[in-house]
Amino acid sequence: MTVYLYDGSFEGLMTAALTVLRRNDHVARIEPEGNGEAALFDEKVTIAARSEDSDRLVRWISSAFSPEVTARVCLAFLSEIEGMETDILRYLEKGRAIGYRFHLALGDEAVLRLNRLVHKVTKEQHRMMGLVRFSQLGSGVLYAPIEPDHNITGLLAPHFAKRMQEEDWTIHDRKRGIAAIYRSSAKRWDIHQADMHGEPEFSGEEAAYRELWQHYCAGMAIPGRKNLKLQRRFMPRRYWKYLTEKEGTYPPP
Amino acid sequence: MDISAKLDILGMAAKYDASCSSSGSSRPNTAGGIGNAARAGICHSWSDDGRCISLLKILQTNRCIYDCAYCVNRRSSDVPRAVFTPEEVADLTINFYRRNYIEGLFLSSGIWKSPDYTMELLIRTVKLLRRERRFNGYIHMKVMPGTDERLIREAGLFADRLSANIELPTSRSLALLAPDKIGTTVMDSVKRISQAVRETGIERRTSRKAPAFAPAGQSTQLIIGASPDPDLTVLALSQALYRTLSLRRVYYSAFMPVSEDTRLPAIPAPPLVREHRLYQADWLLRFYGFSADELLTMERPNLPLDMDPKAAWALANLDRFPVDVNRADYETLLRVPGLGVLSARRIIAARRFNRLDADSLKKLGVVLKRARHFLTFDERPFRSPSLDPLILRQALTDTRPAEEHDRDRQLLLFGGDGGQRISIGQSRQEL
Repeated sequence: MTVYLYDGSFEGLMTAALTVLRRNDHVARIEPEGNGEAALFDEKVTIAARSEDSDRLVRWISSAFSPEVTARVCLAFLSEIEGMETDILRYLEKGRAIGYRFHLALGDEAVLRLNRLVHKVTKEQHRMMGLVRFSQLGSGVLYAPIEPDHNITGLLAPHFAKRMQEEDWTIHDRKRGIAAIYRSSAKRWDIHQADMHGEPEFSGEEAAYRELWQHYCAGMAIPGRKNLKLQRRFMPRRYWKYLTEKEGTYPPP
Repeated sequence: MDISAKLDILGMAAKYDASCSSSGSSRPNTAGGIGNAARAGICHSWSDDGRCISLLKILQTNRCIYDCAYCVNRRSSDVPRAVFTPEEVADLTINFYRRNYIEGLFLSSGIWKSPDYTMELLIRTVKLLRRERRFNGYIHMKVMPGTDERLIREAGLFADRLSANIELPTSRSLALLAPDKIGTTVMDSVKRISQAVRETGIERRTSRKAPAFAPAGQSTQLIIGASPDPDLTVLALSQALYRTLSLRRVYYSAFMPVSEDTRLPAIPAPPLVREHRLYQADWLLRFYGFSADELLTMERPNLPLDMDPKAAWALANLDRFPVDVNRADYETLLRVPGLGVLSARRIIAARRFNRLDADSLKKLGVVLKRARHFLTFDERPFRSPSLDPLILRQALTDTRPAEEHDRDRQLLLFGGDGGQRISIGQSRQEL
């Protein structure tokens, strides 16, 4: 069993995958370097990222199958779930074996595994579109901290760029130390490294709107139909940390 | 009165309107504007009763000249009254929106002075939001029953959705419980909105420059349990509203007792399970190809409480089963208890690659607990022995407590129509 190590980037993963596919190594695994999981008797090979190889594989996926399949592979990568690299590899091998519409073979194990990864990412993305909460800072910038399970900041940014095009906003993934920063003067967003030092300062009027929202949410529930279990099912507790209306309730006592 | 006190009064008063969907419109942002509408709708939060919060749902005012027996804001009710100015509503909406608390505004009202007077005030508010504040998020406007035609035509230019609540399914019940607002007035408004949506739709198809009118269409609400009308009456009305007047949604709201008025039934608790069954039946009408007369008859005019309506139908129509998973068409698969829209689609997609058996169905995520009694995996046409009515009845009966039905209803709404995110609230009406 050969384990191919890559640098953790998408380009690196595509390079490693291309290498494995060319070698027809059907029992290979791909893992990020520094993982330390490989067993004693596995052969380890480190593959350096090469943009020509990565581009070549991505072009092949898009043309042999469809851009939708390429998108699914990217989404699976963003899941950051352990083992996703090998799931992606098996998915591509399956595509090569079955052919054009293989991604619709919903009963196939490899297709199923990848679809589950994609589903996790898109589900969180859609959820977060609703759960992201901005607070106005003294500088006027709207700041939203998040700690998502999957790396979805880049998936959220286009949505807010369209909707809040005249505002300056920042979505900060505090877990990963990256932030999508949008400035209305530039009309574009970029991802930056962003480690947090201290807490941001809210603007003067921020407190008033927070309170209005908190009161409003508290009053919305109909007393005769209280159902906290249902509430948590749609809004798991781990998302409450940065929800304005849940301020003071997280972490649970 | 400061804005916080007003929001307390006018937010609380609005929560009894069940509708809170932000879906159905893909309104884009404009140059220099703020906001857009997401076609599938987005839920922003969930309140302690498990209902989704998607819009800022408020009344412009809870002053009202009418005295409808079931309404918390009725004229004779002793509650504090308030009025929002258009600027206050715009300010709240924009500031909540830019913090991503909401998708938009749901603006209703009591009827202050007259339907037209109130409607003009609402239109002023919404116009301020759209034009001056350049707001392109979702707006759902209520139409006051009896509003003049030209005001309806104006409102639709600014709103994504319009609604007028029918509340009671027969003119007889309406006459008893809301005498000022006779049944014909609200149905007139519903018909006028429907006509406006239809006519402007035709104009849009012929000329691109014709203005958009309520792109997310019309909805309404029916209260369940405040009148003796059975489910058959309710569903027949919903069906007519969908088929003839092209309404997008009918909401069902379990009657919550708020007064000792003797015209209203003295029930110990709101009929939540009945409300849940009606939502399930409503889904069958809209997504599963059922018609009301397949589910209910004059002899049995109410949905069973202990079983979902599709299962009940299957039990009464065993000659249509078993269904061959590998050959049945989509419409037939939809009729199998335990198979929803998503499962049916997956089966159709997957079976183009290989024959399906019980194992492959499980892998697809199909829950076989109930469906297995009604499916077959080969072409044998005779009835299999497991189609014994008594055994089936036991397998299909729902013995869970009422709170669990709430969960299922929410799941139904989130998965049942191909992933459209629709939120639901419940309870009763303001106006």
